Amino acid sequence: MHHPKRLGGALALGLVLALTSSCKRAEAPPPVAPVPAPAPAVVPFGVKSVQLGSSIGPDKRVPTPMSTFAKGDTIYASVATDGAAPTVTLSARWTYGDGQPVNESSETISPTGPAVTEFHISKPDGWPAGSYKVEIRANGAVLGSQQFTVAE
Amino acid sequence: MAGDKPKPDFSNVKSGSSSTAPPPAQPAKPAPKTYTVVAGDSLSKIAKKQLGDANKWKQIFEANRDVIKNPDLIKPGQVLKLPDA
Repeated sequence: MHHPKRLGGALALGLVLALTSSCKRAEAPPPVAPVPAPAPAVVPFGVKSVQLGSSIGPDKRVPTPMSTFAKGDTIYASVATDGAAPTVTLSARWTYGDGQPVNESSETISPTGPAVTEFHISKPDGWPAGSYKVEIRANGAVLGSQQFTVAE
Repeated sequence: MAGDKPKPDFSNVKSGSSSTAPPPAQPAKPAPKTYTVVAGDSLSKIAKKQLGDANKWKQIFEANRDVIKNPDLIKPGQVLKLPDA
């Protein structure tokens, strides 16, 4: 004759034993090292454009690019650059005809991104008519140029 | 040569420039050297010790007009600015 109480107790005990022996404490997964964000691409310094005009706006850009000027104009060269550099000396070398020097000036900057630098020249007694050129250099290397004329 | 057009004169050309980019940062000026007066010091003694020339006491006095009223009267603990040697 079987004893239900003893059987139930034995069954429960057996169940508990089975559960504790087979059940392993779930181990926490190892921490995943965070993936570092990719470093932003470094843009090397360079001249993007050189535009000439007879005036500039507050942003140092030429509102209306021109290539022919009047004798009494102040001539502006607006140089758009991009990229970063600790120090850059931008210079504008203006010449007349077959290379006669007109003027040279420079601006030393520490660009951290897009920037605009303007150079301008004026002549109290008016410009001689003819062909001119402005060369833009960065630390001595020619990075851009524009030709223009002064009308008779 | 005869008939050659004279070259134009550009000596009176005026020029200028400006940029949206910042100028290079100026290196910070080094802090001036100082000396703390101890008992027995005098300006000429300090000048001799620190500047190599006792006659430079006047320079020390001029540099510290805000703390020294009388060049013959300096007190231990006073911190004096030293001019460049």
